[in-house]
Amino acid sequence: MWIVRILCALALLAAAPTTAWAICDQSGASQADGDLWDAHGCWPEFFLWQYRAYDMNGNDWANRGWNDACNRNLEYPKHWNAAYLVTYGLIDSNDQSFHGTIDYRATAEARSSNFHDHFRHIPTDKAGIFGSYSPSNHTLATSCSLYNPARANANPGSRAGDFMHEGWHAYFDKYGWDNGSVGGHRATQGNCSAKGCDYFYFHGIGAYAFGAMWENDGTADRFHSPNQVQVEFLCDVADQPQPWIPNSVRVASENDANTRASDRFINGPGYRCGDPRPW
Amino acid sequence: MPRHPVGPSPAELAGRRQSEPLPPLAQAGDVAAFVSGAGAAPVSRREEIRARIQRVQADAAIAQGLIAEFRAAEKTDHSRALVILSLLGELRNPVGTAFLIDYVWKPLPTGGEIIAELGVSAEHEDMERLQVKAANAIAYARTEEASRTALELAGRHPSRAVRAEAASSYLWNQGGSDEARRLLSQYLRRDEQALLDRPVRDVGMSGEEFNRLLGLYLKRNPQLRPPAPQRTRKASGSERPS
Repeated sequence: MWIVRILCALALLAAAPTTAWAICDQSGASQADGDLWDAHGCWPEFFLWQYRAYDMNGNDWANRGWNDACNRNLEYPKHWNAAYLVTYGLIDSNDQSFHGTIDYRATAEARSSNFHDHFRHIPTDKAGIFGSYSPSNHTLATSCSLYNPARANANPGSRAGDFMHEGWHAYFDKYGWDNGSVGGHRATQGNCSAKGCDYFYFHGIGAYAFGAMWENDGTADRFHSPNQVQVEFLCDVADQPQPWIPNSVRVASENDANTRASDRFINGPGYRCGDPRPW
Repeated sequence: MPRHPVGPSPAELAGRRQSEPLPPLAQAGDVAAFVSGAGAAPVSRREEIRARIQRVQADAAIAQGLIAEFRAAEKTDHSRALVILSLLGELRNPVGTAFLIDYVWKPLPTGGEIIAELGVSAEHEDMERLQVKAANAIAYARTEEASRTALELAGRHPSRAVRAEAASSYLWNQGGSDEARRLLSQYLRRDEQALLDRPVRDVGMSGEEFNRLLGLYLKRNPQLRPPAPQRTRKASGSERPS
């Protein structure tokens, strides 16, 4: 009899969905996620557009809020919360922004463009990373570190910042740029204290027309690294947000930008952005 | 296709947020609700919140309330913990400043599961980010002890990010004076003297002014110029983590 039970169990196991069960903390959302959420109140028209724009599907995001898109404690709703920030959160000031929404959307969204070839947004339960880009199957994965509210990057700004970072790895893949052999970065050196380091190809405000962030001239004068694109996005959220953006989102973005600008660059630190006053 | 209910439009919600009253902040018992309200309030109301905080600057009970809220949030909601440190810094109450100075020197966690690209654990990263905020808040207090602490942080805190934040915040709070630069240069590590010239974007700073500061930074520190990017044949197929 016990052999029959084991065989039945094995048969059920084989027939089970192939989707992985989430291991992220699904018990709550960070204050910044909740505050941005309350600013749109779970806007259906947006997420019904967003899942296509970011090429997400129910197989990948099952058990992570795909069928519960207004439950802000789950990963898929948190993902589209960050996409909402990218799509609507910036004022796009020609005089003060590093880049425009058009640049950040093209970097984060799935569609093929001058910025990268088509990719799909997927979740991952891999520990030890924030996110990753896989050139072999063209997927941009985001991990629990971006969703668990206790973690420093589990806020809409940092999560969207990771879309920029990984999207820029896709840019490097599209154009064949070599950013180093340590997971697409360079080993610890210079002023970088992290294990994966980039160069900061400094440029001023107005150096790139909105929509032209993908351009380069093959020299250090006109180029971007993944961490740099991430810092510039976070600085634009901190310094040039729409007036309705919650303060908690601004504060978290500034904190991520300034820590990253100091820790991640061989020729750092990058500039300090955000209000120099604590609040 | 994801499932959904229907609610008010974002425009309607933004209008409400702009006009709804902020929670009171008169006693320690008000702190939790005020932290929630200040974090949720739109950035357009930042000065209103700053004024409310300054009104209770002398109230040590408010500072104690913020510290208690921070302790409750530190390990459970990082973004809330940042909001609280921001408010505590803005308060400039001696009790709050003493707490920040104690917190910023706490040892960063070692061990734990390492995040590949960082080389440290998530717990280390979480606390480092909070200490960066604390360093910014300490410099803003502008008392003799706080300013001296900011200088010491700039020179000898184990985190590069905390050192950089302390240096930039110290200079900004001292008006970038020659005397402040001279003093800071004595504390900074020899290989981190570039922090003296690091651009600090202020609220509303024009693009022209930022570009001028950036140009000066790179002119005075030519070693920061990166090498030309390199081509590769094609991607290796391996993942690129962040």
